Amino acid sequence: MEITFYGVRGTVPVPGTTTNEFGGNTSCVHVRTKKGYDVILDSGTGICSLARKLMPTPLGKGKGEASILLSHTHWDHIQGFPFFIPVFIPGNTIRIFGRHPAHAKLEEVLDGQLNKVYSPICSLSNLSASIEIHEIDDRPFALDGVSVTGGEIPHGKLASTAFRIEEEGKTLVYMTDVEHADGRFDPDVLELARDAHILIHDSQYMPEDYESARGRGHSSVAGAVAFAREAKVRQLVTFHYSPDYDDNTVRRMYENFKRQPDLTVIAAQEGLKLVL
Amino acid sequence: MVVKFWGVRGSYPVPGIHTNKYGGNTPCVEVRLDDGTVLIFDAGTGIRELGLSLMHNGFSEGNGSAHVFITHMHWDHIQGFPFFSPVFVGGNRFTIYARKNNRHKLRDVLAYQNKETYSPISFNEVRAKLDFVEVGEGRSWSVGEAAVKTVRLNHPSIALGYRVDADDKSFAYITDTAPFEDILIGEEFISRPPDHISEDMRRELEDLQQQLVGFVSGADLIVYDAFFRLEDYRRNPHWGHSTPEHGIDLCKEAGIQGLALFHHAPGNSDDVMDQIDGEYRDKGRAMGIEVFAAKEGQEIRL
Repeated sequence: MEITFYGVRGTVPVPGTTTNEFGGNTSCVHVRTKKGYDVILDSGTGICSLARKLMPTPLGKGKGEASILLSHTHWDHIQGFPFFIPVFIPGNTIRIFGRHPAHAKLEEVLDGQLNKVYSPICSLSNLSASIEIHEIDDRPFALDGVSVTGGEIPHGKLASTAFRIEEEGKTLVYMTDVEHADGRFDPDVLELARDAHILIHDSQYMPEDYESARGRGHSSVAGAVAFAREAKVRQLVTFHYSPDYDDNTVRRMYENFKRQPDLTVIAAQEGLKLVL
Repeated sequence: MVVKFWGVRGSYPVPGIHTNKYGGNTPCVEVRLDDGTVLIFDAGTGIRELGLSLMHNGFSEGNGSAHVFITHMHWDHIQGFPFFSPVFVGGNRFTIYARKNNRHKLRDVLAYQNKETYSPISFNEVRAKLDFVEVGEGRSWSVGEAAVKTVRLNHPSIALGYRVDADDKSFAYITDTAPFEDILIGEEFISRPPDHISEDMRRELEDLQQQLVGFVSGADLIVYDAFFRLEDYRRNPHWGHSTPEHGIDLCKEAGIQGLALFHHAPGNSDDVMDQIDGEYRDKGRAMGIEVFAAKEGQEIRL
């Protein structure tokens, strides 16, 4: 599979000259499977530029299909969806997978984003593509031959969902918006990431900033490294940087943590492509 | 009166190297009166940076106050509010104005953005004192030394335009509007342009257009929705946005000499914006109107 990063920022998009290197768009990662199927991890503002890249594919002609896997429904993970052009092209099928949110059905939460007070689209039913919304549980499901498991992970007052994606013996795990309990990792969460070839993991904070942000549901880069080593993953990709961090800060974060025994650490940035 | 642009982009924020010059943040404009009164127009993502700058100016100690005027509640005009740091400091005071909606209270509409499902930050964490003022179109009132007025704009769910007269100058903020020309847009979802407009509708459009012309008449600077190029407007008049041509026409009719093109389309790179800026600067100059494409960070003393 081919993994491309379109949005690596947490919380809120941050345009400007100080975020050119790593990027200011909120969470969105595109996975093109070996068979050519499009799997999209989260729909932050990064999905808007992904949409333009997908226009030359069947999705641009109303003959395409894609699946969006949602970690959860905080704005920075859904705010790009109303601007994802393929949803306006009749003939496309867009499947959305996510766990049941805490207080409503997933469909109601996504429809709420398009409510006419806030959006000229007014309702999911006004989108021209066929939109299918699937609430998932712990059981693995198949997307065009790729196996996907969505497991619950702790995120502040709510839970978020991590996705384990397996294709022909290669494993990608997407685990963002997570704060592991202090000093011990949930065995189920560790299992979800176990032996992954690539783990994309929440790294919102530098360790020195984490203390004051404890309990808000995010990890420090040190926490991400500790988790990755415990789960014996091969490569860790730091992700979901604080909007308060400029490029120099993110680079420093990465430089301080890139040297690990038995673990490769790289920093996600917009445009980064990994082949697995 | 000093006008400063903190966010000039429409629809959604567009970070990236191709928007460094004009900026990628969604709408937010600060108007600072000579006596220091701070007026803020819209709360798109640009308000986050404005908030950081205000924190250096008394708002970090809880001594600040400002007035926030919201054109309408579409996300790109309110999405920065949860990241506007001065509202998390006790003692600060904000008066928030927006169009009265008979079904929803203004406070509830803003607070919905902070619902647990969508945001980890609860609206209850706001520490500043917020006063909510729901206004209609065609209203006028005073904010300190300034006279403020509203007008109806042509946009899905209806937006408000604002005009401020203070310090012997006047500023008009007219964004998210189609011209009152080809369609009248109200509360309901419209999927395509109308095939036909009735005579009654035509007269209503003319009345509303004349109302707008009178409203902005003689302004020293108008910030105007220039989201579309003409060919895109003709395909999508029902989206509720205008073109630079419509902005220039309005300036001619209303005797305005300063036009800031605003609410740039998210797909417009700096190169495209440079072309638009150059093209309409020239067209404006020929008619005695100073036209420019607004840039994030740009400051203008009227």
